[in-house]
Parts: sequence; structure tokens; C-alpha cells
Amino acid sequence: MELNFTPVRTARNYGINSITLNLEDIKSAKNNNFCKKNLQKLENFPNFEFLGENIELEDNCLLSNTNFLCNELKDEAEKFSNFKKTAKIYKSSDKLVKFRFNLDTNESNLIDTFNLTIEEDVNSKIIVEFISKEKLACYQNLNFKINAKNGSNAEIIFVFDLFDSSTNLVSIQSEVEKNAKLSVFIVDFACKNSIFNYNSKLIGENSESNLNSLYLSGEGSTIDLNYLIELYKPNCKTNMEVIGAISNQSKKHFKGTIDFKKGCKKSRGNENEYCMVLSKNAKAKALPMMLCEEENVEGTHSTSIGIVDEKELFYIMSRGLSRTQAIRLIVKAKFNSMILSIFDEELRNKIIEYIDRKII
Amino acid sequence: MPKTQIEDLNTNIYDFKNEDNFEFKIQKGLTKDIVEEISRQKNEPEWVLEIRLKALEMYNKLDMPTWGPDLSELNMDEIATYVKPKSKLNSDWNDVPEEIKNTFDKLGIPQAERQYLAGVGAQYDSEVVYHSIKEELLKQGVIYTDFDSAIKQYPEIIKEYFSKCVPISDHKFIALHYAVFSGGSFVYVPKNVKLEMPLQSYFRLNSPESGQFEHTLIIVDEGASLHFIEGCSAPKYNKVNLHAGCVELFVKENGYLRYSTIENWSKNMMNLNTKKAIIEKNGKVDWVSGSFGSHISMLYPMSILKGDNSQTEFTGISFAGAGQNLDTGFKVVHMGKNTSSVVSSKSISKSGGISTYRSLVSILPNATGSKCSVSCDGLMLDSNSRSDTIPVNNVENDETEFSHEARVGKISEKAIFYLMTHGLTEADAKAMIVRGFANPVSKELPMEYAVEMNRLINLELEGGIG
Amino acid sequence: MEKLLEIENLCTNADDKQILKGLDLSINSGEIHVIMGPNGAGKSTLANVIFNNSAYTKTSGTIKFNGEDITNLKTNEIAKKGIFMSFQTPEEISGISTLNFIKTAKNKIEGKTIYLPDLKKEIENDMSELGMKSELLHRDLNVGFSGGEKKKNEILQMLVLKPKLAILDETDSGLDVDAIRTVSKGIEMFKNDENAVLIITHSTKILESLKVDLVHILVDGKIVYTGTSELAKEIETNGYSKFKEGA
Repeated sequence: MELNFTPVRTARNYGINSITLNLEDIKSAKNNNFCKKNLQKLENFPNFEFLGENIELEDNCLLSNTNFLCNELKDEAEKFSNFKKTAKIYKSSDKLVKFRFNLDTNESNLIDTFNLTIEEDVNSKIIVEFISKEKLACYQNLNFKINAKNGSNAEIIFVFDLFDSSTNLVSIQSEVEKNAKLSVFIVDFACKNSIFNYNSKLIGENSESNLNSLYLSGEGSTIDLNYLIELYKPNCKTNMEVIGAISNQSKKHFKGTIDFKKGCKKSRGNENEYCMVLSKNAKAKALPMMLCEEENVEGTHSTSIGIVDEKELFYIMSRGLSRTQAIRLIVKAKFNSMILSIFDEELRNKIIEYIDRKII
Repeated sequence: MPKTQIEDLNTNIYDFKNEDNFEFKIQKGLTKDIVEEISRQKNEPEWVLEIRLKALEMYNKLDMPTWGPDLSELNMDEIATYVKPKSKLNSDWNDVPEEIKNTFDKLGIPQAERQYLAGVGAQYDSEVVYHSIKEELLKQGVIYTDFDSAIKQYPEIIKEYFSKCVPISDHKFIALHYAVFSGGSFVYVPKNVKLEMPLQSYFRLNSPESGQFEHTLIIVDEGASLHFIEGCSAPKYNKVNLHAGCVELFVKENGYLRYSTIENWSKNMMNLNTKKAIIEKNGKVDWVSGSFGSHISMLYPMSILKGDNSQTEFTGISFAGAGQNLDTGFKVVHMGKNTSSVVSSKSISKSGGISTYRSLVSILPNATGSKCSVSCDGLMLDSNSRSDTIPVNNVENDETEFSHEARVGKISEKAIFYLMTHGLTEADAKAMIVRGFANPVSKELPMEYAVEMNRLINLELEGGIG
Repeated sequence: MEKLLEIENLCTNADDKQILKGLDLSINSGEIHVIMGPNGAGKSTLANVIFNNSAYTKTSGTIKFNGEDITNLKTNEIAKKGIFMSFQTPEEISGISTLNFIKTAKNKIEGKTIYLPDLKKEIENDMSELGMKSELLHRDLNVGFSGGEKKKNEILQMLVLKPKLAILDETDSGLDVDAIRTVSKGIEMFKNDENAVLIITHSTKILESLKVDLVHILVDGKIVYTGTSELAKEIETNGYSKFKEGA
């Protein structure tokens, strides 16, 4: 199946317009009961936890979210969803809001539709976690929608920590209204297929939408990131920062687009991507797009590849560290400023610990 | 403050028509009969016809591109692919029929030849009408001739190199090119011969509802060096004209080639051109490209850095005005070790023009120690236009330095104010900034062409050209 | 001595915020004036508004130069009348050489084409007086220039363009002692009985070697006090608090 299409196509042989996965095989291999051969609705997802206050949580999701990866996944979500929720944060709170999904032997499939609204003038900090602690191939088809109402200010961190052999198909969309600010942070401890789509529309004046994305590949991950920020109204602002490291046989496709629509006068957009290539078999592709049909804007993007500098490595090793320890140190140093921008200390430590665990 | 207009490019000096006088014009369309007829008219060897027919088959098999500008206005049934002018190939301008000679006089070609070129080729519609090279270069073994003559005079070399850089199956319009190609130049620079003055080929398409499909093949042998200039223009017609040329460049060990293009096709031209260079060990190709004309362009010169330590630079500018969709960029594949590429691209969009920078950088597993840096700038002069940047970057080894940066935006208000406090009108100020923006390209061109380019960006300041 | 610049009751807004609130100022030929004031008082705004920068909106008042109303002239026309502004942060313009820029400006302001070799000679003389390397002429305008080089380049343009009134906006800010001395020297070279200088500054260093006629204190969009060069010294020791209370 072809999914995660770029907003504008380019030459087919560049191999970046979309990615092809055989989802039926993936699902059959898990011997699960929702592959084509054996169509059955999954049981309601059992391991969902929630923490926080000033939230209205409903067990349904009336709005049907678009799946920006492909229509087939939308159909799947409509027919086989085992988790649907609508959440409204109606009042500011100092307390963190947390949603946690634990995938385990009980249920390793999660087809979820989640609609989150940050009401007018509400400030909120939210963490949404997807975790599998067991050594188990999971499957997720996530359809997440965020509505940031007028004057709201929200920081939302998504953490994906599924076991290496999992397939994680993520579509997150957001709409940001007038004077609202939304910062989304995607942390991905990448599994076998880590396919992400983030689509953010700045539909109100003076709105701001930021995206931070951090990934670390597993043994042989396919990481396909397709991020699109569309600016429609005057004085909008966006900043996209993407940083990651790939090792072993992993490959990464980054497709990041800032689209200045006609009428987004005095808007500004910036996009930076940095990828550390840690092994000679890893492959990094990037397509940092900028589309512009408005004169009065400032848009910039940059992308670069980082390699481990041998001199730097030698210097650190001369201070008594092993080569691996030295590489970990360099990766941590490169990731440092993004890690520090995470408001949750537990998560900061988890990322650092993950770097130590993964770079061997 | 009301906005001042920056003038559209003034292409009038190129927009003069001669009557559609020809010795032979093939019927419109593209069929096996037509291809065979072209071959017969050209009286060429059998093996060339075989390539043409194979290419035609390929053309019919290949799909239209699924990306880029909309090409639906192009209808091959409305294009005559071969127009033979009323002139033989000459080596003295005085022998060129007057009307055609006048055309090239107006374009300044004979004058340029006298002043600063080592050789000139001039093509009118489908055939080359003039070709000449300085005597002393002939003595050094330099070959510079029209492509048809080369097929007949140097069949072994042509067979060895023709379609080896740009294969027939590359894409639909290159297949078309190989089916109906006519004219173009062949250059061979022998080992260690370094040309001090440039060679120039100029392509003029006069005939309406026709196409130009010239083939340029250049071989720069070991340690040799060449600057080749390509110019093109056409008068404007109401119906679509097509240009699908092909440029194949081979640069051997330690060779150097600078390939400069000033493209100023009329605004009814579909410019679907293909250019590619294969660069051996320690060789270098520099591309300098100015795209001003055409209705639609799809133009992505390509360097294959095959040999270790080979290098390439691309410096380009495109100016998309009313009714223009210029989809241009650069492609580079790093194959050899320690190869390097530097890309600098600028674009200007105004009056509804669309400019797109589309590129590919591919650094393959064996190209360790390679370096690539890309920078693109898009300047928007109003909000009716578009400026898109679509660069694909592919890195397949862990010993590569790669960076890409791009900007889009308008002319800084502060800079305009600064210049106005020094007595420049708003239009002058914008013009100066736009010219400065284009400067990285014009400074890479020979003086006379830089002047030409500045004239093209008809944004003159009193007191001359910057 | 004739009246060169006369500003009456000037009020201006930027982004709907009132910055100048009824400013009056009069400068005669042959004079050096200084405007001092705390940050945000409207000092740089004044220079921009005299040049009719579109980022600011005039809500009332007139600006006359040589008796002629220039309030609503275009920026370049104001320059042609003989006013020059040295920028606090001169713009960097890539692709245009410094020489070409000065040449173009000179020709525009004079309204005729000056013979380039003569002009170049004059520019190079001025450059050597200001201790500037002549290679800067062939570099892109202000691109990659150090802070000091940029400011000297502004003074150089003042010397070449020979305006009747030179407004120097914070030309001394961020400069070391030697560079400030060079700037002062440039002003001395420029100054004569026919022209005038308006120095906008927050420091007194640059005033030490110049013969200043009047010092104005600008607080909250108005000139609240005018005095002789002694006033500058007083401000150096006591600051603006006294004048702020008065405002």
C-alpha cells in the first residue's frame, strides 16, 4: 500500500513521493484477527490510563478525523477502531495532563481515533504516550486531531516507545485558531515501520504552530516523516525542528513542508532538519519543501547531515572513553538543546537513557 | 507608499519574425513515416535511423511526467518536428542567405565571434547554417562542427559516445528528442589542449508550430579545458513551440568544462531540455545558467561525479514573469570518493509567474569523503506569483558532509528605504537589489554576456550597468 | 546664516503607537546640533520620519527644508534636496559593489553623470583620510564589513555626497575610541558654514572634539530642554532623570 504522500509530487525515481508498505502481510504475520482474511472488530483497548484535571472525556468520537497517511487507514479506523475518545480541556491548569496507552500481550493492536480540543484561552501541557514494555510486535493506526481554540496555548508531547518489530502508523492533525499557540513535540523511539504524518493548519491571525520531532532508529527501522504546516492568515508563525540519528540498516525519509498560502501576509516560517548518520549502511533522504504564494513573508529552511567527526571522537577517547561511549556523548551533545526544551524531566531522562541503550 | 512596478523582462529585441521560409517543413505530428522522412531528408547512415525508430517506440511507451508543470497544452499533432531552412551549412557569414544572416546580426553573433569567441555555430530552425572555428585550434586537433557533419566525419567517436550519457529511455521527451533530433554541435578538445576563448552555439527557432531538437555532444579529453556557451531565442507566436534538445558532456581525467547558457525562448515555448555531464577523476564541470524565457520550462542539468575527486558547481537564476512556469534546478549524483558539489540557485517570481527550484542530490554508498552544499533563494515581487522549493537529498554513507539551505521572501523594506535615502527612487532601489540578487550568476558569465543579462533584467539605473 | 531645517509640532505613530508627540526643531546652516535622550524617546524615529519612512505615519506637523515643505516628499526626493542620513545599522546589499552604489547615489543626487575616474579618486582620498582600505570599494555594499567599517562607510558617503544637512543616527554606537575619533574627523572634514549636522546619540564621547552649537534633550517624543554643549556634560554625570520629571 502506498501511503504518506508529499503535498507536491516530484520525479518518481527520487523515491520520496510516498512509501510503500505491505500492511496485509504485516498484519497477517502478527497472526491477528483483523487482517483481511479474518475481519473482526477488535475488543475495546484495555490499557488506557489518564491523569489530569479540567478535562471532559467522552467515550466516543463523533467527528471523523482525516487520516493524512492514506484513505485505507481512515477506513480501517472507521470500521475496526478499538479506541475512540473526545477530550476537551476547558480550563487552564498547572497540572500535567497525561494519556497513556500500554500495548501488551492482552492487546498489541491499537486502532485509535482521538479528538482533543484546547478551549479558548486555556493553557495546558499534555503528554500522550504509547508504550509496549514487552518484546512484542505491535500495530498502531493512530488518528489524532487537535483543535487549538482562540487564544489557547498548549504544549503536547507524543511519545512512541513501541518494541522494535512494531508497525506504527501515525496521523496527527491540528488546527490553530486566532492568537493561539500550539507546540507539538513528537518523540519516536523508532520501530520497524515508523510512519508519521503531521498536518497543521494555521487558520487564525497571529497564530503559531511549532513542531519538534526527535527520533532514534532501532535495528532496522524505516522512518518516514511527512510534516506539513500551512499558513493561511496574516502574522502566522511556525518553526519546525527535526533531529534524529539513524544506525544499522535503518533508513529515514524526511519530508517537511512549509506552505505559505495567499493571504498569510507578514508570516514567518522556519524549518531545520538534522540527521546523524551513524552507520555506513544507513540511508537518509530529505525533502525540505517550501511553497509560497504570498510576497510578504519570510521563509527559511535548512537541512544537514551529521557524521561523527573522527577528530572529535579521538579527542574524547583520549580522555578515557570507549568509542561507543564517545559516540553516545556526541549524539547527546547534538540532541541536547532539543532534549532540554522538553518540559517533563522524566521524559528527558528517558531519552538520554535510550541513547545509551540503543547506541552499542 | 504605493508600490512601484518592476518591468517584465523586455524580450522585444529577440522578438522579430522572418517569414516562415523553408526549403522543407515536415507535416505536423509524430509517426514512423515522419521519423523515416526526417532521416531520408538528412541522408544519414542506417544506424542513426535505427536509433530514431527505437526512440519513437520508447516515446510511445513512456508516460507523461506525473509531476511538475501541466504540459497538457502540448499537442505533438500540432508540432512540425523538422524544418529545413533555405540555407546550406556555411563557414563564411557572407554565404549565409541574407534574411538568416540578418537574424544573427541582430542577435550580435558575428560581432561576438570577431571579438571574443574561438568558434561559433549557428542553428536556424532544424539545421545548422553556419559553423566556424579559429584556424590555430584546428591545428591543435580541436573539433568543433555541426552534429550532422560529425555523424558523417567521425562515425566511430559518435557511435561510442552518442546516447551514452543521456540514455534514450531517460524520460518521454528525451525519447522524443532521439526520434527527431536534428542539428546541434559536436566538440572534441584533445588531451591537454586548453582553449582560452569560448566556443558558442546559438539556436534560433523561427518557424511557428515547430520544434527544435538539437543534439550537443562535447568531449573534453584528459587535462583539456573548454568554456562552451549556448544561447537560444525565438520570436513569439500564439501557438505552442517545442524545444527538446539534448546536451551530453564527457569530461575526462583532469579535464575542465564550463557550460554557460542564456536561455531566452519566447513566451509560447515549451522548453523540455535535457543536459547531463559525466565527469571522470579530478575533472570538473561548472554550469552557469540563466533562464528568462519560455512559457513552460522543465530543465534540470545533471552532473554525474563518476571519478574520484571530481567536482561540479551549479550557478543558476530564473526569472518567471507573466504566463511563465519555470521549473528548473539541478541534479547531481556523487559516485566517486571525495567528490564535491556546490549549488547556488536564485529565482525571481512576478506578475503571476511561477518559479520552482527542483533538485536531486544523491550521495551513493561508495562516495565517501564527499561534500555537497546547496543554497537557494526565491524572491517574490508580488502576491500573484509563486515560488516553490522542492529539493530531494539522498545520502547513503556516513562519511559525507551535506548541507542545504533555502530562503524565500520579498525585497527588504529596510534595504529599499536605505537606498532611497541615497537618492534612488523606489523602482531604482528595487532594481538595484534585484540586480544584486542576480549578480552571482552574471559575474560568472563573460563580460559581454553579463551585460546582456543585465539588459535582459531590464532594470537599468542611470549611469550604466552594475 | 539661514534656516535650513524647521520642524513644527511633529507627531508620528508606528504600529498605532504614538512616538513623537509634538516635536519642534530648527537648525541653521553652519551649525552642529545634538539630540540626546533615553532609549525609546524617539531619537531614531525622528531621523526616519524626516526621510518619510513608510513604516511611520505622521499624524500632524510640518517639516521644512530651505523654506520648502518636504513633509510628504518621497524619500529619494528628500535626499535630492540635500539631506543625508547615516544609519545606525547600515543595510547589507549583496551583489552591488560599494563603489557602484556610491557612484549611483552620487549621480542620482547630482542629477548628472560624474566622470567615474574623478569620482573614484575623490572617494579614495576620503577613504585614506578615514583610514579605510580601498579594497572595500570592490566588496558588496556593507556585506561582511565590521561594525566600524560600516560606520566609516556611512561617513565616507556623507563626504562624497556633500549634503546640506547630515543626520547622523547613533553613528558612534558600538565603536571603539579610535573609530569614534575617525568619525569625528570625518565630521570636521565635512563641516563648513553652508551646511549643518544633526547628531543623534546617547553618549558624549563623539562630542568632545566637535564644536557643538546646541544640545536638545528628547524625552517621550518631545524636546524638553535645549542648551549648549555644557548640557551634554551634565547629562554624562547626572543622566536624564531630571528631564524625565520635567516631561
